[in-house]
Formats: sequence, C-alpha cells, structure tokens
Amino acid sequence: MKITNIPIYIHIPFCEKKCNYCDFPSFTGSEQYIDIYLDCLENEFRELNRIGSRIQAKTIYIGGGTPTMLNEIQLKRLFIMLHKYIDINDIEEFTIEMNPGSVNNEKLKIIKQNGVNRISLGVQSLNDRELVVLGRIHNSNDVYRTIDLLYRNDFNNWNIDLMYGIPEQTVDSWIDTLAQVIRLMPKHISTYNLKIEENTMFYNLYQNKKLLLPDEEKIIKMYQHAIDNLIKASYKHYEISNFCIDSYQSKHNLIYWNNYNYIGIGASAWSFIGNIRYANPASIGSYIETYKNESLINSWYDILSKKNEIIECNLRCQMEDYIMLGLRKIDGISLADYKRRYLQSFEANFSKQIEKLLANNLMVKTNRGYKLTDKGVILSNEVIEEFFE
Amino acid sequence: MDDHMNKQSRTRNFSIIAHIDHGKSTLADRILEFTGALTSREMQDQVLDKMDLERERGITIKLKAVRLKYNAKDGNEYILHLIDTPGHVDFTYEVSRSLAACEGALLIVDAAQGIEAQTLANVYLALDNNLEIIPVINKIDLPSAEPERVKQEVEDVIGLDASDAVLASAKEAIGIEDILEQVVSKIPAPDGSSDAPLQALIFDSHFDPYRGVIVYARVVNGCIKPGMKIRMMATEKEFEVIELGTFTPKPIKVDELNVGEVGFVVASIRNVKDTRVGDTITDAKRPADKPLPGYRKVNPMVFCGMYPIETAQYEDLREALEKLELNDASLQFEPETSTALGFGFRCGFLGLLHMEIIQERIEREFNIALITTAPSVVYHAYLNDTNKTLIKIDNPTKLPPPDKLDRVEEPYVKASIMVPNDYVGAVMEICQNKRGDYKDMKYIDANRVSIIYEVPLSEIVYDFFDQLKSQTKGYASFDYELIGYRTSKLVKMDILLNNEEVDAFSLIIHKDKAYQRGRLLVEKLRGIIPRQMFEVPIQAAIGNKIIARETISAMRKNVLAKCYGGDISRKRKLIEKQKEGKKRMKQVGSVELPQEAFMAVLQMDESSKK
Repeated sequence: MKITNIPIYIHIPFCEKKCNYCDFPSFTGSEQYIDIYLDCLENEFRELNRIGSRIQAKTIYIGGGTPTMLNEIQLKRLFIMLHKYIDINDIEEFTIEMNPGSVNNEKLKIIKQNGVNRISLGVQSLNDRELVVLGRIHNSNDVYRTIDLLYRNDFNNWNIDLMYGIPEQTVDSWIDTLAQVIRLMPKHISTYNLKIEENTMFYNLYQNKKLLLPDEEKIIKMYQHAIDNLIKASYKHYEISNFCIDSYQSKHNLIYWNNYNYIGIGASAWSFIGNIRYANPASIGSYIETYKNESLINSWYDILSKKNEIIECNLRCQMEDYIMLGLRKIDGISLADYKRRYLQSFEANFSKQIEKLLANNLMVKTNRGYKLTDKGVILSNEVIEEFFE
Repeated sequence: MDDHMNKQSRTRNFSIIAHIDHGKSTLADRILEFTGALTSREMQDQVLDKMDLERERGITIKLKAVRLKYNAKDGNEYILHLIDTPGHVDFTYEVSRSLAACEGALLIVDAAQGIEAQTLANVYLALDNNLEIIPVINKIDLPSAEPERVKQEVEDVIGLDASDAVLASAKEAIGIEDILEQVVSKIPAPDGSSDAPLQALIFDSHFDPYRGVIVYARVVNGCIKPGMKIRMMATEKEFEVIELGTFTPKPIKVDELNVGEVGFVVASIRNVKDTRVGDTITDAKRPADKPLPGYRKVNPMVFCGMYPIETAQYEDLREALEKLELNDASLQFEPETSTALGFGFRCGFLGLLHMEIIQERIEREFNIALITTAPSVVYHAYLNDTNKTLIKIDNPTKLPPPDKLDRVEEPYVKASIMVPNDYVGAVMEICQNKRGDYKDMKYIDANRVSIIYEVPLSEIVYDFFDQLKSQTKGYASFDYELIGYRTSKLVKMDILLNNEEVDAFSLIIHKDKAYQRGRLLVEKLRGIIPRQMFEVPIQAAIGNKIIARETISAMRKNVLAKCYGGDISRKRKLIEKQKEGKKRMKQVGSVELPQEAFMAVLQMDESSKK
C-alpha cells in the first residue's frame, strides 16, 4: 500500500524549561532520554512502513517541545531517519520549530542541508519584561541573533509566533512588539491570545488572583491592532490567528484546517486517517514503553490497539469538524468543496443555523460560500457551536 | 365470639410522634427487632422508610402500618399495630388521620434537645384524638442528654405526667421492653363492635402496579371480608374486596379484618383519589349511618408551574405526573401554557417540601429536566363588579389589572416557633420582615421560648424556613397552620428581559416590599443570566412603571486563539462542553436562561442586603 501526499507531524517533547503558560506535552530535565526517544520514533516509522510500503509526504512539520533541544548528532539522526522512511522528494513544505537561543549556526546548517524550507520561531514578545513574565528562556536580543542566523543560512520562509494578553501587557507594548516584528519582515506571523490552561504555573497564580491579565476590552483592542497593523504592512489575514505575505500560508496547518488526513509521530501526536482520529501515548515514558521494541504488527487494527484515544468520526462529526476548522479561515468555507467532500448541500444541512447567523451579523455569504464577519471572528466559538448537534 | 373479644382486648394500636431527627425511625426498627418481626440481619436500617428519597431526606413521606406480636410480662400475647406517621408540617392532615386510627401514641423527645415546635403540634393532634400518650425520652446515651430537665419540660409544656416516662436509647436498644410494656398496660384496647355496620378509617393508600390501590385502614366497627362490596362514604365509590392483609412487615394475607384491627385492603381500585385519607369504608349492603368524624378534603396550599426544559418532553412530564398522582392523592395538576416556557402544568402541593419532593422525583425517576416557577399561594381576588365576584388566583399572571379589582386577599397562617431565648430578637425580626403580626410569646423553661405570629403564607413559602434556620443557627423549630384569608395591599410585579415580559417570573407581592424585592431580583438575575450576543436589559415593573433595572452587557469575545496542531478533538470537546451548557438553558424570547434563573425568584437572601 502506498500512502501519498500526506502531511506528517513529528513531536519532539523536550524543553530546557517549561514556560509558565504551557500545557503542551513537553518535558524538562529529560535530555538523557532523547536517544532512546529517537529509537522509538524509528520504531514507529518502521511500524508505519509495515503498513504503507511507501509514504510520500506532502508536508512535514517537526514541532515540540523544542526540536532544537536535540544536539547536532541527534538532529542528523532524526533527518537520516526521515529520509530513510519517508519519501520527501515532492515535499511542498518542511517546517521545524525552534526557540530563539536554542539554536546555533551548526544546527541550522544541518537543518538547511536536510531540506527544511520553513522555520517557525517561538518569539512570543519583543518586550523583555513580558518574556520574563512568560517564563521564556530568551530575551529580545536572542531573537535578533537567531534571525540573523536564519538570513545567513538562506532561510527566507520563516514564521514568528506572538502572544497577546500577557499578564501586565499593555496595548502600547503590544503595538510596539508588532511594529518591531514587522520590521524583521517574516513571511508569516501567528498571533495567539494567551489562554490560561489548567496544570500550568499561570493557572495557579490565576486561581490565587495573582495574575494581572489585561481585561477583555484591551484584548479585543490588541487583536484588532494586530489585524489592522499587519494588513497595513501587506500581510494577509488568512486564519483567525494567522497572517502571511503573498502565498506564504502554512501549507501544513492549512491541511488541518481543511480537515484532511495526516499522520502524527511521537509522544502525544494525533493522527487522522480515514475517519479515525487517534493519539499516541502522551508522556515520554508511556511513549517509550509502547515503542521501545520493534513492532511486528501488520495491520491498521494492530496500530490502533497501541493508541491512546481512538475517535471514530461519523459523517455528522466530520461535517462539524469541517465547519469548525473551515470557518477559522478568513475566506471561510466553500459550498462546492463541502458538496464534493460530503455529497450534501451545506445550505440544506444547516439552513436554520445559517439564517440565524446571517441575521445576527455573525456570518456573511461570499461568492463561493460563507465566512465569518469581523464580529463573528471574535465570537467564533458561539458561531461554531450553532452547527454542533 | 369470645375468642374474638379476647383478641380485641389484646390489641393495641399506636403511633410514634416525634420531631425530625429525634429518632423515630430508629425506635421503630428496634421495636420490630425486639418483637422478632425482623431479625437484625434482615433489617435494612430503618425499614419503615421505604423510598430512597425519604431515607436521604430523613423524613417519612408515606405512612405505613406494621402488625407485631408481643409476649408481655403478664404472660399474654398481644397484637400491636404500629402506625407510622409523616414527620413534616406539609403532611399535618395525614398525621392527624393516622393518629385517629390509634388509641395511643409514643411521644419521643430528644434527651438533649427537648420539645420542638413540631413535636408540640403533633402532641396536640394526638390529644385532639383522645390518645393515651406515653412519653419516651430518647438518646439518653448522648453525653449532652439531660433526661430530668426534658421530663420536667414535658410536664410543664404539655402538661403530661412524665414521672413514668421511659428513658431510652433507640440507637443502643435501651428501654425498648419498657416501652412495649407501657404500650400494653397504658394504651386502651380498641372498643367498637364487630356486629355493628362496617366503619373503617382510611389513613393511607398507595398504588401498586399489579394490584391497584392498596388501602391502609383501621376497622373501627364491624368486620371486612374478601368478596364484600364496600363503599367509600365521601367519594361514594364502590368496590369489591379482593384481598385483605397485614404487614409484619412482610405482607401477609388474612381472612378478615375485624374491629380494632389495622391492615390493608385490595379491591381493584384504580385511582388513589377514590381512597381519600380520612374517608370511611363501609359495607355497601349494610352501610353505617354516618361516616367517622374528621374527614376533610385536603387542598393544596402551594402552586407552581412545572415545565420541561426540552419542549418535546411535555408528554413525558404528563405521564410522570400521572404516575405520581396514582400514589399521591394530594398532588394536583392541570395543563397551562406560558409564553416564556411553552407547555407545562400548574401543580398544587400541600407545602414546599411536598413540592420539592415531587420535583426531585420527576427529575430523578423520570429523567425530565424541569423548570419550576416560583411557588405561589392561592390569592382571592374580588372584582369591582356589582357581585364582587371572587376569582381564585393560583398563578400570578392571572391576577386582573388593578382597575378591575376591588381587593385582594391572601392566606394567613399561625406560625409557632420555638427557639432558645438568645434568638428571640432574631426570630421577631424575621417575623416582622415577613409582615407577621405578633400574637404571643411564652417561656417554656428558663432557656426556651415559644413565639406565635400570624404571617402571610406567601412569606412562609418564600424563604422563611431558610432565614429562620440561618438566623438561629438551626435551633429554631417551626410549625404552622392555615387560619384564613385577609385583605392585603398586593400588586403584581413583572420581570422584563430585553423589554419582553417573562410571564414565568411574575409574582404577586405586597406593595411595600415590591421595590426592594424588584431590586434584589434584577440584581440576582444579572448574576445568573450569562452574557448573550446582545445587551439584555432586565427590568422589574409594576404595571407600566419600571421599579428596578440592570443590564447584562453583550458577550464581546469567545474565540479560541490557537488550534493545537493536530489535536482537533480538544477543540471539539470545548465546543461540545459549551453546547452542553446551552442545552440546559431555556430559550425565552431571544434570551437564553439557565434553569436557576427561575428559582432565583424564590431563593433570595434578603438578609445579605443588610
């Protein structure tokens, strides 16, 4: 069996330090497990190869954690593995995440040599005080130094992740960060509203009312400034939290947002194959336990038996996911695409919801389908909920 | 015949009267155990309380009767009928009928807490029925027990001779035999003649899905036998007796229920409403001249609207109410519609507790999520037409406009409160706030006071209980009885959401309290109603006059910034959770209201305003 044109996500769950807001599967002080973790990744790739003799990737995204926590030898090993088990000849986009300060020229050379053509930088803020509050390990100078390295190694497609709604952040400091980032001319910018998640340092502080978060009105202002200032600087707003120059959208993420299949490798990584979603064991320990031995299985069923959460998505659920993800794109959803995917009419399936959302000025009709209004964007969860059963 | 006379002379019918928590159920268990009716192993704790809900709330809702055999110290075997009574003011009439089926009663008083208002109310009911009362001082094992003081209290407050009072601990099985000996020696045997025409007092009934209504009765004169055609004297319904029996507590078939005996009657009766508590069963062929005294039709005192949250469950709700009605002659309901809530039922209850029990059973046993409107009493509205026509108002929305009204009357109750004297001030303040008229105050002993007020029932229904409990740290005990209707300055207050009147929130209220209550209610609603997609004004109005206003600002933002890599399910779960929350809301006009909003009208802590 061949698996072609598939996006592949690889999770590297190691970090030097856990950020105060982070509830991602990432672990500190576990560097001694990196080698064995790489063994396990290799076992998982092999297992996949027992099912799909040829896996041809459309995109690859190495995320974390901090993938650049791997040293030069480990990085090389990861790439050799990828080349060995995955056909990346026709790859359209190959991204790796990195944190400013965790990368050097040597590592970037390895990354470049191995075909990576897109870098995603976790910058979050260019205000040093805010970086401390967030518990980041870098300061604004590290950001500039890293970007200099990117230029020197001929990377021209890179993304900067930013965060607003940081404790003690002001609208002015946010505007300042935006302006500085625009001057760096990244091809892609993501702006995420900080959310307080359970099991984080911030959550504890928040519970004890020790977190001075900007109020809702300020956050809305910050979001609006991001949209206005980035558009003024020729960025295209193409997803609720994502902006890009020209056609530099994140191809990998767009596949998620278009609700297509993908494969996830590594601890806690999610896959979506056919109509089934499943996740790998979430912690490094449980992942290693599952994949430390070479697998002899040879069916999808056997693969699924090792997974953590298996969700079968029926037609209704797929439609809901499609809408939930599709409406996050600023252009919204296409009626023709919906029809092609589900052989049904979006307008017939959801006439009542559409009528209500149009009346409340949350959604508008476009020449190809429907999209959220500006008001609909900041209330998107309310809109999406309407389509859920 | 001699045999029968002998049996009658060795029969004793008695009840246990007590305040909640004073140990009635435990004592009943011990008596059953002692007489060998049940081995302790067979005994699930407190067998007389059958329903889960009763056990959870620690109160007895349905009365039951048990037949026990007791070998007394005089060498004779006696037949004892223990009739259980409900322990809450809502069920006063039912208590009075089960007492009427007895010749004596055990008065259980907690050795630490002494006499409570409810105990007193039930003692008076027992005295009204000429019962021989045997005082039992229970819980003498408690370190805080003061049996001598409590004995004195029984003498001073009730005027009973307590010198022979049994000192007992039902929990530790102390004093059980003494109690049974006194039952045999002090309580008279039933009189009445087995030759006279049949008169049997119905003191309870319940619906059994296989056998129809099972009637619990005490034969006062004559004898019932299977095959006999019987007539219910008040409802005039006739049935043929199929089966007779007693509970030991297991049901045992018997060939007859003779004079003085207590047992159950099965007669293909389909509806409990045909077997009203207090009614007299007689022989249709040889009827008694007149029924036993004391029958009255019990009328509901408290009404509320019950609506399914899911409109589609309307029929399910009807079925649930019909099933509950099979077993509950005092539950009333009829369909009504509300512009806010759609189709539902106006239901009548004996009191608030009765209402809460029914509500909980519908939600729990029938799985119907309910919205209950604030409870209302029955107001008497007199129109200003020539006849001064009386309209009974059980739903505030039905109150005619002021220009059509001559006057409005509301029901008043006599409220008896017993409280340690430290709390006299607090109790009086509550009663004043509740528009009560002071009637009387007596010291029961050096530390405790009995306070009597006349208070509008609507104020009792509102949050009187809660306030009394919180202001007296739970020390006050309370009882009330209806004393009639009085004219009051009453107005209808409406609540408007987004400028639309929500009929389910309307309430009838005293004019002087309307402003304060309106203020509180809109503030409370503002806290409960979640933000909507648009601004929602909340207003309280009397007629066209707005007396209070709050605004819920529009929801500004609800967006998930980051869609975590491939973890779509995380986002799905978030939206699903949000959707679940909304499903528990009721769409009223354009506003989505949570269930609690409707109860807000009832549960407001006025004292927190001070």
